[in-house]
Amino acid sequence: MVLSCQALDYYYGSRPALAGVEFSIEPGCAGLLGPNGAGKSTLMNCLLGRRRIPPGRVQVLGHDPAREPLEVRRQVGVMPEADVYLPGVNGLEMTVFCARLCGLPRSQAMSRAHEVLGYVGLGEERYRPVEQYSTGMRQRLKLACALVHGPRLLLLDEPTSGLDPTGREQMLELIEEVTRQAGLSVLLSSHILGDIERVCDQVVMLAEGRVVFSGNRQEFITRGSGRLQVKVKSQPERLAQALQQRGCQVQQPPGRGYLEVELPAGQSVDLVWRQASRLGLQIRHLSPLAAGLDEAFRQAMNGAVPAGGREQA
Amino acid sequence: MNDGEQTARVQQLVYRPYQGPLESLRGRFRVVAAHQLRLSLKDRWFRRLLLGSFFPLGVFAVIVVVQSRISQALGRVLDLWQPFWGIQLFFALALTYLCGRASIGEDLRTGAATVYFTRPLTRAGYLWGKWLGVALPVMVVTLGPALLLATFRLLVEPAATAALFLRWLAAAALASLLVAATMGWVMLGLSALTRRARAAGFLWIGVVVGGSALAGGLAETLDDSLWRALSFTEGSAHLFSFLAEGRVGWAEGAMGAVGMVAWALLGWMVLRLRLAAARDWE
Repeated sequence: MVLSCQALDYYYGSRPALAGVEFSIEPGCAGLLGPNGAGKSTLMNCLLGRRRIPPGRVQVLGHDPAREPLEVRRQVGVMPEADVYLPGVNGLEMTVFCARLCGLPRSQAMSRAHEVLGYVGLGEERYRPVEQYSTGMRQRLKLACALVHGPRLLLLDEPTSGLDPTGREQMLELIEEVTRQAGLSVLLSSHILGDIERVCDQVVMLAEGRVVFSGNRQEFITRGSGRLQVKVKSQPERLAQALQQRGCQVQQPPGRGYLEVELPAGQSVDLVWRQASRLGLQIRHLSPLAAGLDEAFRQAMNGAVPAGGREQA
Repeated sequence: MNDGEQTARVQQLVYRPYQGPLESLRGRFRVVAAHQLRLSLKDRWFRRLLLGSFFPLGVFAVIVVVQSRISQALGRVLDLWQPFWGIQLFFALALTYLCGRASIGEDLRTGAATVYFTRPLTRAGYLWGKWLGVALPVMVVTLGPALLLATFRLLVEPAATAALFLRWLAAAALASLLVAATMGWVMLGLSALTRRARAAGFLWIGVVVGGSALAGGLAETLDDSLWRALSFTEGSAHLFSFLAEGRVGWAEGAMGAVGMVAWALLGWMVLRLRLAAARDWE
């Protein structure tokens, strides 16, 4: 387990920013979803020990950020959402400085900075002042600064923010590479569902400071749909009629050869099996129908999906 | 280079995790200080003032030689340390203005807190590093020339003894340290009050000039020259003069030291309060 939270609360004055947050993340790429103001940035700051939280609520790579914030920050690389930079330096100097702040000796910091800047695609631009960088270049620089000290976990806050489609594609490719080839774990915070869908295999969804869902991305999508895909050997229309008589919404997409069945409240997939058995029909395929991440997100926001993982009070 | 070439180049490079040595956390403030100094050295006026601060040394060396020839005829030894210290303080004030005015404010403006505090750096390490980035140039232009002048006087003046030389060294070291502490913390405190380096610079000039005016006004009004030591520039001159050759009384010297410590504490408190109010500075 890379990261876990247990009953985490955080207040800005009397306003709760996080309430009873509970989830865990396995090695790989996890997406932190949620609308603006859901508490994503607050959660990331808590994971880094930048907010005062009670000890024992959070574990990051085996360390408690409330007790060992510096050890956590040594092993975690952060790509913040905000347009942050050091004034008066070029890209190489900023990356070297970030490496030095993480404890790399000067000679190692310099070679390492060149290496990661080349990796993220900043060539000759590394010698230009950071103030002159375009948005895409600044995002690459932030990623380089997050990678330079060789972290085990990356926290990426809106990594594709402000990028054009080409820049976004390149950034997502880089994220996929570090996850799959280099074996880094990534927590990607974004409100862009396409980014999460592209690179993440786990999802944690926040809304108003609470965890709405935590678990596998596919489970999030399929649980969000509540619909089934059913394929029978013959006479699908008979099964469709029988299910409709029992309150199901049934559609038969033309030319697809299967039925899309939406079960009524309180009914389980057993209903489909019973009707097929009664009619003497052979079911060849039955599986949850993926709604797509955006539909799952909307349903989760509307409370249509029961919370995955741990229920929140 | 078009996007296709750039994409191809990214795919040719492989990310490697870092497995080399790591330096101790205790020395991390030196990284902040070194960064601050490197930024300062990029400013040509900073470099000019740093080098230029050693030029008065040549003038005073000539004065020392002339004085050693004519002191017997004059029947007294000229006070060199007070005017010398005053000139070096000017360089210290100017360097503090150049290297300190943007130290905290620019970080506030550019969101650099996120750069610093998402990495293994304590707030104390950040503050001491920033302070050292201002204090070190101040010490170089106060202590460095003073040491050289003291050495020259020992070699040239017949009346200069080893004991006197050591006294001059101690005076220069203590006065430099206090001046560096005072100017450093006051400048950092002022820099934290505004996100614009120029505004912080004006505040610095105001404090230096205003402090001197206040101290002078109090001294005139209350008819007590001790109050002049409330200006940290005059206070440090009194302290140095007392320690080096005892040309002012111990009360004025002590008042100078107290005044500098008070200014340093004030600057430090302003800085801490300002950063405590900024949520991201944790």
